[in-house]
Amino acid sequence: MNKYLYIQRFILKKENGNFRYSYFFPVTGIFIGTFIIFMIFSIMDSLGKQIDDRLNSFHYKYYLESNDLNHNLVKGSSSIAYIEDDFSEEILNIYSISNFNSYLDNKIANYIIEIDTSLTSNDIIIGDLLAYKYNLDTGDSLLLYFPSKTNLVTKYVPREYFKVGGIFNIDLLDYDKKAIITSFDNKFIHIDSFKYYTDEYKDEYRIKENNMLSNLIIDALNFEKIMYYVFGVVVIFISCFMFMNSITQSIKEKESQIYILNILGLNQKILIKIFLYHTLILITVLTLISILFVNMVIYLYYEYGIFSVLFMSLPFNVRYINLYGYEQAILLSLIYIMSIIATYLPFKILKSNLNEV
Amino acid sequence: MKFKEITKSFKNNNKCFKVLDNIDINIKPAQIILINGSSGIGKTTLLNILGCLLRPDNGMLHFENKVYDLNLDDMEKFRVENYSYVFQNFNLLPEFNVYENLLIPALINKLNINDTKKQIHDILEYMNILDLKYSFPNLLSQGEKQRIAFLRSLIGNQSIILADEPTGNLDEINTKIILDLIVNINKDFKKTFVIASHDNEFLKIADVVYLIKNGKLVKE
Repeated sequence: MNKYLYIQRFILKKENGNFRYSYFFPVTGIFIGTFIIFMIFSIMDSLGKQIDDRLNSFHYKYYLESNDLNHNLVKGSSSIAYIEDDFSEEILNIYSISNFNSYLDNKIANYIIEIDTSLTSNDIIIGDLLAYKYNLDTGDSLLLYFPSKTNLVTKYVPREYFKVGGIFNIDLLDYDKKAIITSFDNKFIHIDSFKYYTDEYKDEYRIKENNMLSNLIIDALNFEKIMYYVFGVVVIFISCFMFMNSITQSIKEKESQIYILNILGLNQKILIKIFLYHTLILITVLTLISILFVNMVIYLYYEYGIFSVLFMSLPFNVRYINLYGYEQAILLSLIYIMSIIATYLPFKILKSNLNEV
Repeated sequence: MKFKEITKSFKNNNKCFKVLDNIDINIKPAQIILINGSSGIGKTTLLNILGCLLRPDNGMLHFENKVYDLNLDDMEKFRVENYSYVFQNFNLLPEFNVYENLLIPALINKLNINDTKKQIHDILEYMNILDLKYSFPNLLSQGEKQRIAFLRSLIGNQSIILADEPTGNLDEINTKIILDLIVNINKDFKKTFVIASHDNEFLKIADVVYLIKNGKLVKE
């Protein structure tokens, strides 16, 4: 056992080798702080990633007004239609895409819940809430009106029957209720103008970002995440104050013992180093335990439905967390920096009181 | 080991009191040196300066062809290598048991731990207090604490043991035990003792006796 490990016991123990229970409170505070931070991290990270995934599954990231370079880009357009029954009418957005089959197979595949094997380019894919509201299933027909093509003289609104070729559930904004996807080649859709879409960024494209609204949502989520982190950091900051208080108290309590250790050859630099090692070990252990607890809570929810009150209302799946990634690195760095300051400061403050030989 | 021209003053209410005035002292190997004098005369101050625990206003140390300025030089390494200490109030660490208290100097000064463990066993046996090995200091008598403190001073293999009023808190019987212990350690381990005490019992065992009078050191 080296001196570092040995002196750790000096910090943790009081007379007759009994544990210093006053030490328990700041440590608990730091544990709760790190637990809150990583629980928030887990929830917000899952939310952000899954919304991002859904947005990018439904939409392309960029669009071009014109395809001057004749690259193989996706052509797409959006138009308005409405649907009505005896009780209500609904304005719908129709998104038509030139690579319809590839789009269904690659981009939105994870969110398709039903698909007709005999799907043609004249069929449409609708959201599950729309299907539920109008009692539609794959293979059923749906009458859509196109108000933008209304004949102003005769007041005739063009209308077409479409076969429902599939149903999706993307759980994003009101897409499940108001979005219809179909092929750009659908001969019954009225297309005025179109754009070129791509997920790939290239310098030679005069590119624009698609989905400003979606980007705003992501930005808002990130901001919310940062705000939650700030709360978590405040909790840790307060805990670090408690921890600093505990360190100060232990230095004051053990002033005479520190003097003895000093006489025995342990200078103050080594002592500070030992306290810092102690903090680093403590924070590492507490962080790992916090992460373990967060993952355990998530596991208990998925396996046994425990903590469902916490997770049931969330419109996405909470993910397990790990220690990789820059956000985790920033959080951990913050925790470490604050606790190191909280350990070092008491020595600076009490320097004049410590009788260094 | 020769200390030259040690001077130390303390300020109190803007008045300067010269406690030690141009003191010279030689410490020879395996001697028992007693610094005697009444309370408050400066014995502990001198001992602390000799032990490099306190910086004098002035003072030089000549040791092994080297000269140290006690006021300016960093004496920590020298102190740790050459001195061990015994205090009136024993200064054992209450968080650790006897065995751990004895082991700590070795851990701090990076001595061979296995050798030290054997040494601890041997010296506890030598003192016939092996049964106290795992006792905590608070559960020991004053005499036992002081014996453990003396044993701890043997662990680092430093050649000089500085003892400040080592019998100050002890009764007659324990004082006698400690005196015998000092003599035995001096004889068996060839350790040098520099003892600051007003207890005249030490006159019986001391090889050299110094008396502090008006800030000057007088050899008796």
